[in-house]
Amino acid sequence: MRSVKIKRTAFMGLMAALIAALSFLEYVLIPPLPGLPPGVRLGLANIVVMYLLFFAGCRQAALAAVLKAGLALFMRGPVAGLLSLCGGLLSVLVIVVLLNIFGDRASYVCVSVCGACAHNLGQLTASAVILASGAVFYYSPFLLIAGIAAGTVTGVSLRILLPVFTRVYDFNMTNKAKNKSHYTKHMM
Amino acid sequence: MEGGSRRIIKRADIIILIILLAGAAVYIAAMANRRESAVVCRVIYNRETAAMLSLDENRSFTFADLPVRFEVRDGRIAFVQSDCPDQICVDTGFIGTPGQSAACLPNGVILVVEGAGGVDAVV
Repeated sequence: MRSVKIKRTAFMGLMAALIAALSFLEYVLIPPLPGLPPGVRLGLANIVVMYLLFFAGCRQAALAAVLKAGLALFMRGPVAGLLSLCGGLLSVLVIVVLLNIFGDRASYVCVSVCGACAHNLGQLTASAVILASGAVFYYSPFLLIAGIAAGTVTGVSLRILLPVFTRVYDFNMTNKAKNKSHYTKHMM
Repeated sequence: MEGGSRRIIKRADIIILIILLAGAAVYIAAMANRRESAVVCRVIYNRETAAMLSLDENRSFTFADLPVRFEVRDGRIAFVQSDCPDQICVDTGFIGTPGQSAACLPNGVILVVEGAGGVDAVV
């Protein structure tokens, strides 16, 4: 029992490292897209959060979102950290609701796009609260478009990377029966 | 594989995406169309209006104790300098359409462009 717990911790550590690597890669390599509001990014690290949501459980995914926000806090300051936390948790919440309603009928792109749009709107709402002003909602249609584009890219990426993720998961969870478990069994 | 019946994308997704994109595009076009001849800029600092600026005269300036610098050029305004870590306010660039805003969250400064004839609530 204890070894399973250790493996789980190691697995989450691996996922956290992957989030850090993807966040950094994106921050360094991908320039801001022209025509979109500043600060809009692809959200490659959300591939990891989505993977956890589909195949590990919503607690792990929420933990990953919190870790991602912690990373933003250290790398880009307290405001970025808070925005990342609000966006990340809202996105996890929306995806959990979607998966509970539609299950396997919800496609990767659909889930991913809804998650990305929720992430953007969560961040926008958080910035409106911080500034105590609705002025930032001017950017909501732009952020919706950005969410659709980014969500499509991350959703397709997740599907492409899935075999790699599954190998890591197999390596960690020697108990084969565990691999069969579907996300719904882990729902809170 | 787990969730093996899940598809990457479905026909319904594409339709929903196109409808969403079209809706957002129409909304953006409608906002861009709402040009007014005279615009002013409200500067909000610490949740309070600190100044109303005319955008008629080109100039570069800063407020007494704010660690940001603004520039007015051709009826538009922008953050040109800020000490914040993310520089999102500076990256926003020049804004000049009523309803547009640029915000520096770490410093609590917002620029909101408004029509001189009164404010359209942007929600």
